[in-house]
Amino acid sequence: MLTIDDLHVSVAGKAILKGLDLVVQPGEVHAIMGPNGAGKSTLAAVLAGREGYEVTAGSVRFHDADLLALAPEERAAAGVFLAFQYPVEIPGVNNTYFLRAAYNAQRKARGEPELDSVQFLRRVREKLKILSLPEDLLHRGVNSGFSGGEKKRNEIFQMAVLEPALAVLDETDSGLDIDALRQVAEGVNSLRSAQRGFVLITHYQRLLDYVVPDFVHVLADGRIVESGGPGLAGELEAHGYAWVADRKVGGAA
Amino acid sequence: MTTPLQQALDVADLPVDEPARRRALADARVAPWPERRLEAWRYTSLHALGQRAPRPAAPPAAEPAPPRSVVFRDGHRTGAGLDGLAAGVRLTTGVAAPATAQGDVFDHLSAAFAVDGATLRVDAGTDAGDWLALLHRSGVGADRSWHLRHRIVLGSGARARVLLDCEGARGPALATVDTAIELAAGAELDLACVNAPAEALSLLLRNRVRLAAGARLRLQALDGGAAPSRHELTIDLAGAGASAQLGGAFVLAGRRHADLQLRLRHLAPGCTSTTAWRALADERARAVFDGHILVAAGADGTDARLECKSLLGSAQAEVDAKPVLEIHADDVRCAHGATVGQLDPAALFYLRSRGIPADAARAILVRAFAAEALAGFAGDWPLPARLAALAGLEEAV
Ligand SMILES: Nc1ncnc2c1ncn2[C@@H]1O[C@H](COP(=O)(O)OP(=O)(O)OP(=O)(O)O)[C@@H](O)[C@H]1O
Ligand SMILES: [Mg+2]
Repeated sequence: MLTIDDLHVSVAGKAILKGLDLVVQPGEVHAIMGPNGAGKSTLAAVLAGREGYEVTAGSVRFHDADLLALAPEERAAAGVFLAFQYPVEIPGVNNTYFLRAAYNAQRKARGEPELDSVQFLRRVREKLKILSLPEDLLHRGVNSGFSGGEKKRNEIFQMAVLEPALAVLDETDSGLDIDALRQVAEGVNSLRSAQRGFVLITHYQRLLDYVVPDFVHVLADGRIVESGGPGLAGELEAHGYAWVADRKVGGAA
Repeated sequence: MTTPLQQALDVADLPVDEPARRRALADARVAPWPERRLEAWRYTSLHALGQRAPRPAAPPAAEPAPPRSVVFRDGHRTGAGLDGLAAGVRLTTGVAAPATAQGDVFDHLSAAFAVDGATLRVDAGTDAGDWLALLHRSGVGADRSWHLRHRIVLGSGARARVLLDCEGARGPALATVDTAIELAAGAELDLACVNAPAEALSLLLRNRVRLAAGARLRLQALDGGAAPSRHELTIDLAGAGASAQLGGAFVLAGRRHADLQLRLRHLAPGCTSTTAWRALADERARAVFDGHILVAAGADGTDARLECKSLLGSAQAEVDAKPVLEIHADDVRCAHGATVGQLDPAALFYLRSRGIPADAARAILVRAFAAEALAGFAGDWPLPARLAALAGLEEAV
């Protein structure tokens, strides 16, 4: 469903992604790990369509479309969802109102009927149960005054309501306590299906104990430098990223 | 310098030929036209208006009015729905020419030409209940002028809620709406002002409020701008312990222009006032916030807060915000400030990344920003819903 081919991206004139390849098929969960500053969030931002990123070469196809040609809202309607590493606080915009506006805008863009507030609330309640998110968060401003963990759970809650075809989670597990991590993992697992793909950006093996990925990739210096099965995460945890670099040097020799 | 507008004034156009109106007309012809070198008109030009020659509008036909409202069309009362007002509440219409006409060219024009207006009197201790609306409307077409003078008089301890609604006013026209308000001791008035008329209207709203001891004014104002839409708000906290809570928003696009001239005077001890304004100017629009608070000698124990925050939506838009505090008393708590910023691009992207189209995302953020000024008011107000529409949202929720 997602095919990234030789992607080069610069930010403020500086090359960040330098020839990244990745293919995600429906039903697959891909974990992306890598050192700080490697370009993981840059990849996520480019997929979601944030401004300020210049694609200098390569392509990204999503289903049959050129993803990079779409506006952010068109990507969302096409089924791409990004759980932000740093969710944005928007005081004064009610969380439920926001989510319904988003949900209905996506449906409208796809030519599907919109839900009225009663229908929508029913849907929201169902999803709340899965995530055991406190209901009062729904009535507050979007992420406004939320704790770090609450913001991350709110991202997963939005994902659960919007049911995207492809979900990119940028360090959603960072800063979570053990219970919240488990809930986030349950949120992801409950959405796993043969039609849906996931890209999990993470620094920790911990999340991958709960959400077992099909593939683990190492992103370093703007490229995928190593790919493997779920076991690769454990190796990385044991040896660090230098180990990947060393093996590459060893392999080339 | 007088303008073509003034030179075109004609005694034959007076609604009633009487000495007071003739005098006022003569005064209007020679009064100095507001020029931008005057401080109070520095950011609002009336040059284009001065080149026009609006003629007084003829009385239109009667029309139905919603409950608890009076409809004024082109400066004439055309309908009223005033059944079932509580005892002690009287809402009448009609005005006479004032014996002496003071003030500027617009006061003279109003004295000469105004034939109508509402007078609301609420007896001491009486609660007038739910919102009473004064609905200002006008037709589209030829260049017209109309003038209204309202009065609101609340007895001691009386309460009323009044909506001054100019949303149905169209252009091209020169319209002035003067409202003189007197609140006796302990009276409470909720006043909601909506100015979102047609772009081609030149609207001058003059609200003058005097509060006796312990009286309370709550005022919300929403302005979509016009050519221009100017609100001159003069408030005297004249009795000890009186208070004013003011919140308003400009939501402007196109070439619309809105201007608030606030003159708030703390004249007695122990009065409080809070003023929160939000100005949003997009495209080539212009917002003016001139907020002046005077704390007179002897007004000890004053608590006055004045703030205006602005968002500019384009490089051609302009906001001139000037909050001023002038303090001549002791033991006062005062704060004032103004900020200018832009819509948060991170918030905009966040909304869009969830599927909300760019225009709707912008409208959501505009509404949230403007709504800050309308927050913290007791009771139900009609303005938040109007704001949603003005910001361009389809649903108010
Ligand atoms: N606006 C910018 N201007 C200049 N450099 C930037 C900008 N945004 C990102 N970068 C740089 O791009 C590189 C990649 O950043 P990115 O956020 O993608 O890393 P990351 O892999 O997500 O790191 P982390 O694990 O710390 O989240 C970093 O060196 C960062 O400093
Ligand atoms: Mg990152």
